[in-house]
Amino acid sequence: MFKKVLIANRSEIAVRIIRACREMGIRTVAIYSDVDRDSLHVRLADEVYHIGPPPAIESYLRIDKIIDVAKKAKVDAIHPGYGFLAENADFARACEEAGIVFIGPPKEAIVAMGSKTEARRVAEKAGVPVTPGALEPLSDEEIFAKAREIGYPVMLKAVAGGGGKGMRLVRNEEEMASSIRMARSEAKSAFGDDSLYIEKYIENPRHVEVQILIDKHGNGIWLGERECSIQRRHQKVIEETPSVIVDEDLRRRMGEAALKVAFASGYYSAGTVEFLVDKNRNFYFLEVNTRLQVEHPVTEMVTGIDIVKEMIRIAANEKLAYKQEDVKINGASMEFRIYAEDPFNNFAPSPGKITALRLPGGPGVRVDLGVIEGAYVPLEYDPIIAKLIVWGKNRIEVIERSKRALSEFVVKGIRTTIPFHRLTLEHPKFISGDIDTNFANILLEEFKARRPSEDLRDMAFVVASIFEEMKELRMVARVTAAYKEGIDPWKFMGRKLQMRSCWF
Amino acid sequence: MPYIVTYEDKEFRVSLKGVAQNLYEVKIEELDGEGNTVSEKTYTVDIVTKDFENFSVICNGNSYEVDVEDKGENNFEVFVNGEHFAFNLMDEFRKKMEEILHGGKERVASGEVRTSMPGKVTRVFVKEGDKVETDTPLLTIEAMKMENEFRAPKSGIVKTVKVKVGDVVNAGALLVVIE
Repeated sequence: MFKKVLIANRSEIAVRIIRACREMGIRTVAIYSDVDRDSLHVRLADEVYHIGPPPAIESYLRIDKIIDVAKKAKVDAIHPGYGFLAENADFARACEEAGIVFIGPPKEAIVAMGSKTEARRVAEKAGVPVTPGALEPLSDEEIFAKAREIGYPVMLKAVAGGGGKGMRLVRNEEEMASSIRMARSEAKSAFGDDSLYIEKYIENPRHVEVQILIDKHGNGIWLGERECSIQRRHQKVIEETPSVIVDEDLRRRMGEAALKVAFASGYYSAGTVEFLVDKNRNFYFLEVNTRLQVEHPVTEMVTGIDIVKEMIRIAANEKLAYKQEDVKINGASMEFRIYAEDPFNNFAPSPGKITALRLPGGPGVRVDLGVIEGAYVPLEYDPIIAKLIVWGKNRIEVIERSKRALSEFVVKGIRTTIPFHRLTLEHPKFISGDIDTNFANILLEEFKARRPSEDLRDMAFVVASIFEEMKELRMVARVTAAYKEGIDPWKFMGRKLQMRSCWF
Repeated sequence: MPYIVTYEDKEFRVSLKGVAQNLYEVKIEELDGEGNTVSEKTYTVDIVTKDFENFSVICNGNSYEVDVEDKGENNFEVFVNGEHFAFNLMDEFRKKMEEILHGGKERVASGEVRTSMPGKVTRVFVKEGDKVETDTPLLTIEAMKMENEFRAPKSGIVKTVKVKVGDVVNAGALLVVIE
């Protein structure tokens, strides 16, 4: 087993990996940029190295610098987390050349699965159904032609993409030119590659993914599914397991399909195979995420399997400790992503200083956190600051427990998605499980139209008025205190008031 | 001195009376356009705070947790048990003075394009003197890895472009003016 591991990431996922390493007796090495000195991962790691200025391209994406730190710290392996270099084959190669184990899939599989077009080809060959669309990177003209052929609405997607970046839904030809421009630009800045491809958009599909673990000895298991249908701007916000539309039979068929695709690409490590499921429970292969997923904890909660530890064991050439029949789904779980975004203002980014932080606790509650009170949430990176993961014996208990936990979760100084989650949990459609990837948009419309009860509104007015009065009284108190110090503040105030009346 | 709250185009007068330590009697009147009372309610509230931001309120036996954010220029954002309210609040005297000075709240729908979020300007598509139609893309701002396109709110001529590529802007910053 490894003695020392470098975590080439930041915030909550770096913290998550440090925790797994700690439990395995592995020493941890963290890296940080100028704006992350106060990040939680810096405090929890055993060793920490500064890696560069705030922009990711000059810090967390600098393969050369990270390899230098890894050599200097003499680590055995590097865990890339998610995002940044997690699905970068050059990074996997650089690790290999430096004699350091990359904790993730083989670089050939990253290349094959990282290209969504290649992944689709592999899936088709393995006999797994895919959605209609073009496989190759396309020119603008070809995109227009292909869209006409398969019919609007269509999805534009970055060939190198993931996480909603460089992804655009296009409803008609008028929107196409501007969408292509935005998608290419986002893809370019997120992945350094602006190639796009196009897919038929399946109206209101459900987004269901399967967690897999495969060792280097040809053993593989699936750990059930995660439903990720609550999305906005094609980014997941809430995930849960099990999915309300997946029964025992569908679960097994999707699990087997997921392993088929993975084995066909020579995959090992932890991975996620994403599917779209339509109204009639047909599933279509979407893509393989060759990394640890943000939402992996919900699977951990119901299976009791620590996915990060398994990833590390697989990287260290160990055989899987579990067989398929050992995997039992116990209860249900949901994850709520706490983003530094303002749900009252179209989810605008809300970087800033966290002035107060109070975490929920109690039975069945887990918080994966990346920040500390008093720290500044930088605007350079992904807005995720924490994840709330809740376990319950069934979906109903999870919902009730999540409401309770979210009501305890206090973050001040910045806006977060906590109010959005609370609203979601009250919605009859969410409670009944009748959700699709358009749900968040519908919810937001209702949210805007909704008026909270009058007594809450009145309390807002009352407290703001008292606040204002206290402000004046506190000023008087300060003035009185100044008087005791020997300054004559009343004279000063009098002059100030005179000036004010002149101004009036 | 009572306070006047302006919330969603409605005005309310809030009168406070301290009756004991931490105890207030409060009257809330909804006003019509002329300042006449349309309806009124009274509450007795028990209120405590440790930091002048977070308040615990007991009213009619109900417990409320209230956070007050003073946004400056008499604008407040208040959370009551997690529900969000944004409004303007000032004392009645000042309110009257402002009305006399500024002649009420006439504000012309402008061609000012502002950003509601902080971020970095990644691209600028227009320059001064350009003719734009409604929805013409003006520029893009990136924050937290998400790029947002700003479009023209109306057609006209670009009068000024206040930012250039690479600028870091704060929330509320003026980007472009269209005439």
